[in-house]
This record gives sequence, C-alpha cells and structure tokens, in this order.
Amino acid sequence: MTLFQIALNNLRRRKKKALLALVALTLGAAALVAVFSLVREMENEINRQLADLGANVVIAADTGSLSFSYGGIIIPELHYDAEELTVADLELLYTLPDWPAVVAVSPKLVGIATVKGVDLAIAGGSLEAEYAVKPWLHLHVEEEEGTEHEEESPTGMRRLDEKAPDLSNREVVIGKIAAERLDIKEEELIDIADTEFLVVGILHPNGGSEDNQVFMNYEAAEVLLSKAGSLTVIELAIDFSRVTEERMLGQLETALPHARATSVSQAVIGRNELVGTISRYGFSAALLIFFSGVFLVGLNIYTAVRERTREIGIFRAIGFRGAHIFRIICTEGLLLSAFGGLIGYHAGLLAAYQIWPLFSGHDPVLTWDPLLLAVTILVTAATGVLATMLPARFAAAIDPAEALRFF
Amino acid sequence: MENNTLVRAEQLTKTYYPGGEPVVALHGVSFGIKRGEAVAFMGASGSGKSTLLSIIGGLNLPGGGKILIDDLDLYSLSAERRADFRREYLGFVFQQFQLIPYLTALENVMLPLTTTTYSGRIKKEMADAVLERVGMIDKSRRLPNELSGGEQERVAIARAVVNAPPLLLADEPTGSLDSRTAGEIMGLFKELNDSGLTILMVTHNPDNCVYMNRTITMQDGMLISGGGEEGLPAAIPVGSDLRQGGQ
Repeated sequence: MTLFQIALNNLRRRKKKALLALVALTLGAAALVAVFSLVREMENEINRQLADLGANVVIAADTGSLSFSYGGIIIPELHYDAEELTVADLELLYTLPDWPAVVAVSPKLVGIATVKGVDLAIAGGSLEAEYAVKPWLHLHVEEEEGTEHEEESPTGMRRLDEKAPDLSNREVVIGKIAAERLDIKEEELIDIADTEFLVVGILHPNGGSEDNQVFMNYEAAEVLLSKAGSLTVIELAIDFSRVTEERMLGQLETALPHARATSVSQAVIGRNELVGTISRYGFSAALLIFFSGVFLVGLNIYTAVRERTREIGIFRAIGFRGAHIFRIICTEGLLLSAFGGLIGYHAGLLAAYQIWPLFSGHDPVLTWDPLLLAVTILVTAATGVLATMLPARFAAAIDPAEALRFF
Repeated sequence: MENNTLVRAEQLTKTYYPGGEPVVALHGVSFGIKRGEAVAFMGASGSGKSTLLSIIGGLNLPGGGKILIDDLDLYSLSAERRADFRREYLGFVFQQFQLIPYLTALENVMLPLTTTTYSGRIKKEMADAVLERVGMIDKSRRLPNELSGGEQERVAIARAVVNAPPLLLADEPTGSLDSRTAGEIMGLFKELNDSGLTILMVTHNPDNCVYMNRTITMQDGMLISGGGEEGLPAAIPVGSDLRQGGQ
C-alpha cells in the first residue's frame, strides 16, 4: 500500500465524478492541442508555399481594389480591368539597376470571356515564361481511360524534362477546374468568342487561379480581348540573393510609377499576420476552455475532500502526516490531469484533422508529435496539480478530532 | 529501573465553546496507566471519556495539563511529529469500525504501514500476520461492505495493531455489534492484552469491563472511581512530581 495506490483507488471508487473532471480537462487540453496543431499547420503550409513560389514579384496597374490569387496566396489590391500596363513597360524593366537579379519575366494580358455560358479568365502570354516563374505548373496527363496519372515528381513540382508547350495562335492550355466545368478534354476543340482553339493540354490543379484559366499566347489574347499592346500583370522571378526585396521593390516603383509591385513574400507575411490573429483568438478561446477544465478539477477535488473529511480524519489518526494527505490529494489531481492531457492530445489532434479542410483544400500533414504530447501532459498535469493544491492544503489542515467527532 | 507507567495524565482540562457558550468536558483529570494494563473508561454520554481518549491519542489539544506517554509530553510535539508518534506508538479502534470503503481488508490493515520505510513484501507479511491472528486472513481481499460487522471490527483491530504499538486506544468498539459478536471481540481484546498490549477502552457497556483489568468511571468531566486504585490518585495537586509520587 502506497500513497499513490490510495489516490488511485479513491479515483476508481468515485468513477462518475472523476470522469466528469476528466472530460472537462480533456476538452481543455484538446482545444489547446487542436488550435496549436492548426496554427502550426497553417504556418507550415505558408512556409511550403513560400518555398515553392521562390522569389516572385507581381506588377500590376496601381488602381485596382480586388484580390489576385497567386499560387493559392492572395495578392491584395489588383484588378483585371484596371488601367493596364503596356508592352512598352517591359522595356523599362531593362533599366532597373538590378536587372541582372531578375531571373524570369512573365507578362500577361488577362481578361474575362464567356465560354459555353461559363465566365472564364483568359490569360495571354508565354507559357514557357509562366513555367519559369511558377515552377509548380505542369500538365495533367491521363494515361488510360479511368486511370489518372499525375505527371509530377515526388516533391509535387513538375519533372525537369517537362517543357512548356509552345502555343500557336489557335492553341490553348486549360486549367483543370475550367476543363471540368466546360466538360472538355485534351485534343478537343473549344469555341471562344467565335474562334475555335485546340486544347493541347490541361494544367494539373494547384489550388491557384490557373485552375480556372484558359491560357493562350499573347497575340491570340490581344485579338480576343481587343486590347492590343496591353498587359494586365507582369510576374517576375527574382534572385533575392543578389538584391534585397526592399531594394528591388523600390526600383520597380521608380521605373514604373503608374504600377504597383507586390512581393509574394509580402503577401505571405500578411497571411502570417492573419494566422497570428487567428492563433491569438484561437488560443484565447482554448485557454478559456482549458482553465474552465482546470477549475472543474479543482472544484471536483475540493468537493471530494469535503465529502472525505471523516476518512481523512482516520488517516491522520493512524499516523498520516498532513503532508501525506496533501500528497494523496495532489496525486489524485495529477492522475486526473495527466490522463486528461493524454486523451486531450489525441482528441485535439483528431479535431484538427477534421477542422483543417475548412482552412485548406488539401489533407493536413498533421503528425503524432511525441514532444507535443509530452508538453501537453506536462502542462496539463502541472496546472491540474496547481488547481488541486488549494483543496489539498484544506485536506491537510483537517482537524482529526473534529473529523472523527470525538466531542 | 524501568518506568512501569506508560500513560500519565496530569490535570487535563478541556472546554468547548459550542455556540459561544463554554462547556467544560474535562475538569483537571489525572491518572496513570501501567504497561500491560487493560483499562475501561465508563461513563454516560457527555461524561468526557471520548474527549479524554482523543487527548491521549494526540488528536485533541487539551486546554490545560499534560499527557505523557512513555514520559514523553505528547503536546510538546508539533502536529506532524504527533502524527509520527501515533504511527509508532498508538493503535486506534474507532466507533463503527471506520474502515476505508474503497480499500480491501488487507489494504486497510496495511494503511498504518504506508508511510513507513518497510518494503512492500514486509508490509504485506506484517498485515497477513495480524489478519491471521484476528481470524480474517481468508477474507483479506474483500472490501469492507462485503464483511459483517464483527468481521469489520476484527479488521479494524488488525489495522490498529499491525505496527505493534505499545498502546491500543478503543472508542466504543462493540457499540455497533450484537452481544454475541461483542463478546467475541472483547475476547480478542483480552487476548491482545494477555500478549502484553496496553489497552485503553472507552465504553458505556458494563459487560465489556469484565475483560479489562480496571475500570475508571467518569462523570461530568471528572474521574469518580478507578483512577486512583492503580498508578496515580484520581486527583492530584497541580505541579506535583508525578514521577516520584505516582510509582
């Protein structure tokens, strides 16, 4: 017989009450773990996207107010119908002092066209240049009927040997979602504004605006959208090891005063701030639930102590010190809260799995993290014991003569 | 020469204040108990016998006077040291058994050994030995609610003596038992006393006194008989040298 066994046996005796406290604490721990896991996954995804995107800058006319999705990341304040850039603006890029740091340039004319009653974004430019600034773009290949094969490397990027199709004036490449909406397949013809185009490829879906686009060469888009010499957006791949982001953006603003240059990493930073806000609110709510659970554990133990006054009196009478009683009660709190932390961690992880699709279109990469599990159990146990200390002190101070009603 | 007095009470007083009004429970009680004695404290309800027992047990601070066990002034110790003292020197048998309901008979008996440094195996051997002695070894795995009143009392006695204390304090140990079972339990107390254990028992049942060596009768917080027949006189002057006068 040990103090630990006494504590354990007592919890077993009052299963229902112990279970109530356990559930409360489990919910608290689960809320914390779920929020933590979701926030960490958001941050991981941002980092993954940032790594995939490389160093990119988007230039557009400085009058817009709508958002523009770039590789799944929202670039604020761009507008398709804004006062457009021109081909002449491209020449100004060569005047940039740090022009050699520009690795690739993809100018595009973007507009809206109705195809089969569906409004689609038409993007006109060089697919080769587009491939250069967006390394994740690649064609979706269907090998056999009913069996889809994704032409991609294990990293999710396109294979090094895949070249961008060189589109003629009557050829297009369509985003996967757009192709599904139009019910059109590769090698089929598509009628856009009374002009027939051959679909030479379908882009593999990437969660970005390209999924809903029809991509054609610049000349074809110029004619189709009746905007000769205009550009909507110029995307640049920058080697930021050769120039700082701030310096490059400053040079672009000077060279193109009528345009607005936005770094994708700035957008990512903005998104990080959003994640920060979400995490602050999330953690506040989770902490509220957690401490409610801790409070319930403390209350539960306190009630149990009040009910066990006589029993504690017996312990004291047969030679238990106040410190022994204190340890028994704290052990009960420790057992409850540590077990709550253990279950709460797994419940929180499960909840994060279920909630993640609300934040992202793809499956989470949440993993069982022994360190987080250990921290969860440790934090829950420590707070549980802290909450138990007050009733434990009360129990340790019980007067045995009074408890046993010797008078 | 060995001091033969195990328990010595000197002018013990105790006053309670229920509702703010003073109620005197003990009026300067003094007596001595020799080693190996079995003494019954008899008296009506409210005579102060349970209060006296709780003071001897180190559970209830007296208003005045001293209680010495083996010449040690019990209330000169801190509360925690008194707990240690109880563990090593005293065994308690309470009214209505007072077994811990969620522990088996064996675990209840092992309770006083919980905070000792004995190994688990030794603790179990000690508990088994006393359960054997009180005839409860076959039911050692049962919970208290699976035992009869007499069996619970036996387990309670086993718990009180498992750490081999020199002094056993019993508060109305047969109060919840029928007369036949009460007789059996008193026989057990007698056996324990015959083996050298000093017993102080509070009871209101005169039949129990037959099993004791001496009966001290209490009334209104005072000893009215039995206190002076052995050991010390029933009442002694404050400040007397008990160690000389009482032998």
